[in-house]
Amino acid sequence: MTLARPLLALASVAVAFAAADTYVVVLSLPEMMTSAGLSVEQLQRAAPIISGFLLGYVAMLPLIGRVADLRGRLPVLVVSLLVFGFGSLVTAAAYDLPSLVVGRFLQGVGGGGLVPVTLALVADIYPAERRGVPLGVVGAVQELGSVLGPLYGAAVLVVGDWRDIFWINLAVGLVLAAGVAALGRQGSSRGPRRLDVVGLSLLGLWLVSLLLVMRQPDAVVTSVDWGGPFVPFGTATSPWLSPVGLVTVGLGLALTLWLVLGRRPFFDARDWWGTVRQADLRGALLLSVALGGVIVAFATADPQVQVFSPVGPWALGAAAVAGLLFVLHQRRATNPLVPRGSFAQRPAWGSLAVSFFVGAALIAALVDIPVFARISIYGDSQIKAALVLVELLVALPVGALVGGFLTRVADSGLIAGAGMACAAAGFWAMSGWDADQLHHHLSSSAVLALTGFGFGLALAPVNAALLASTRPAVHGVTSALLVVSRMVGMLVGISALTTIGLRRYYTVSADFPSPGEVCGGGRTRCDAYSDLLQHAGVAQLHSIFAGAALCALVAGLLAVVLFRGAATRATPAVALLTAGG
Amino acid sequence: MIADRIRRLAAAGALLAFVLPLAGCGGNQEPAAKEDTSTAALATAKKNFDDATSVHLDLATDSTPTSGDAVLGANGILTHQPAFQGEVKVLLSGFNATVPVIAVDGKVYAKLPLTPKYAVIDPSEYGAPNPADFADAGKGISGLLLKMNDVRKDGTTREGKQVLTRYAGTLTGDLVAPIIPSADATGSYDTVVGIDQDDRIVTLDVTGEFFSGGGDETYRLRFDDYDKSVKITAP
Repeated sequence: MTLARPLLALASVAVAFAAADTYVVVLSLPEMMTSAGLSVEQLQRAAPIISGFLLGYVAMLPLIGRVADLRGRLPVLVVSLLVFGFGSLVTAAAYDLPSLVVGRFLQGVGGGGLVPVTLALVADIYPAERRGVPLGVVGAVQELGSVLGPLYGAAVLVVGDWRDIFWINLAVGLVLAAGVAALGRQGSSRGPRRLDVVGLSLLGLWLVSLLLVMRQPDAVVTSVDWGGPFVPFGTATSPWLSPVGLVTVGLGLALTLWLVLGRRPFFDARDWWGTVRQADLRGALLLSVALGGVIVAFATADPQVQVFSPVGPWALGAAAVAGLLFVLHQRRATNPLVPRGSFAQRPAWGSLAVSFFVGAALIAALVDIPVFARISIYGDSQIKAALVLVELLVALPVGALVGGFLTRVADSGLIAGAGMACAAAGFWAMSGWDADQLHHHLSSSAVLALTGFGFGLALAPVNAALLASTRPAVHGVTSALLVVSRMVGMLVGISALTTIGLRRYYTVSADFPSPGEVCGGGRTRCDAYSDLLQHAGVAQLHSIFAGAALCALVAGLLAVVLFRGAATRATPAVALLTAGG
Repeated sequence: MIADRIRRLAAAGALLAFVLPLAGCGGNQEPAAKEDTSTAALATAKKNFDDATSVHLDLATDSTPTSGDAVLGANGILTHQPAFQGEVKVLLSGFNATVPVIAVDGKVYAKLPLTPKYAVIDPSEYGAPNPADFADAGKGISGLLLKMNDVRKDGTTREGKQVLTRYAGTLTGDLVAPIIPSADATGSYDTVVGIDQDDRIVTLDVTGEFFSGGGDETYRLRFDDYDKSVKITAP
């Protein structure tokens, strides 16, 4: 038990770090898009760099909680951190958009595994009646991570490039994994395990050849003697269809075979697979397909033509079918992730619905306010663009505090409604900002602070409504689902709002005059034309902010209607403030 | 001080090189001969480039300036009409953008970022070259080959399936600027040309300071798909 608390502390740091990673890319997105071969106007195709992470995160949550019950917290924590580290490595070494999104997805898988395990650790350490505060701390560090993410990313960008962010993530993931493993070894009476020489050698070789294929180091590739095996076969262009690429695939297969069939491999794949099968694998897969479909539908669009590409409706259809199957599966499963009846009361399922729309609105603030800053006045500075968010981030915890205390004396629906009304008003004001608004510090700061305060205000009453209308035994899993619901909202929000905003942009700009007509005098570039484009860009953000205002308004109205009658005033304020995030 | 000393050394070296053969201590004529074969190889490569009806071109750099205007790459077909059709990667007031460009009949049509259709632009106002000029036998890419100073053969290197013979030399900035406008006209740029077994230019690497105070950067030009019958027309 003495080791449990340091372990929980370490796990909480990991949760905060993984949460920070969701938004760490927000400000480096322009650079990452360039590396992936995307132009500035293909923002909708870049959205999966953010939503890919969210997808991995959300898909893992239902699975990992059960796996951690069956295998123990510690191994699952270590594996999650290692997967997170591996995802960071793939992201850092990425050479195109698909490899970048795969890396981000793996990061999300690892990061998503951390949350349920950490919640389970809380349940292990504390008796039911004392879990409120520690559960709240976990939620709070997650919140903290997600608001610090953009700032952390911007700080790294000051001294390095975007790949450095992910090399640092790899290092942090490995250090945390080592820390957790070390704590575990102290606690267990078992001697050190036998070193799996074959498996670890295969792993080392595979990682080296993976990096060689992905990074194509100049010194090797241009060498007359050594570069030959890197040349793709025939007319192929993929780096994988080369001798070195195939060797990498072969090493990967050999490693997998060893882990499955070998005697005492360092990672017992057969055993883990059995555990995963016992957990809700089908549910996780269905949820992934449902959300992945939404991402694909919006990411493949060409907003110059329309909001959906030809595959868009099919992707959405597949998503709907998978979503339906997921719901059915949850109902039928003998041991569903969410114990049946957990969300029977209206405020309980209502809080999930409210969270969804809060997430959709919040992502617009976290992503599009810095984008607005970059388009309008801080074109050359990511850090300044990130700092624009500071007012919002400072006001958020203030609002959370006020909301926590108000929840004791007033109806939770009304408080959440008021909070989201503040946020909606803030977004509405932003949807009227002109390009030099951020120079008017006072008024823009006030709007940003109001928005942050509103989001904060709604935090506690939504949690309170959930906690008051679910049984204490399921508080952990229902709180986690509140986070999931918000993340799904974010994922759908970032995909849909970006694409719809760009579509609106192209509608506005369809009948722009040519630069020669605007500038006159034989010139084809002038401030007037730049202003024209800038205003069109700002108009696109206006429609995103208006969409966010709508989402916030829907969240507020749902809270007012659905939370009515929730017995929240009895719950202690501290638990309300913090639980569930 | 150091620059001065180097200049003096270079002057002394040049003088020696000039005086020694005259003094009858010559015999070692190899450097001159080497230069001759190098120049001949480059001349053949230039002719092959100029005779080809078209070539696929890829210009790229690892440099990542974040402010102002710059050309960061180009990818497309160059013909001797002269014309270019493809994409040009530029930095416009700090924003990266990939701009579809068609340059033909002396006009440059570009689909500027966040605009829905092609418009005639003056590329110099956007800090960009007219890519059709790359095909010009004089001031274009092939013209650079014969204007390199201190040309020497520089071993072999691999470029995908091909093994190339490298020729290294330097170019003055005013010659580089028509291709990469951010080049400093008074600067000197290390240039390496890679020529394949068919005497065609495959690579052209230009290294030097392209952004003042930013240190040395390398722009890499790659050529393939020589001599395809392509006709580029205005949009």
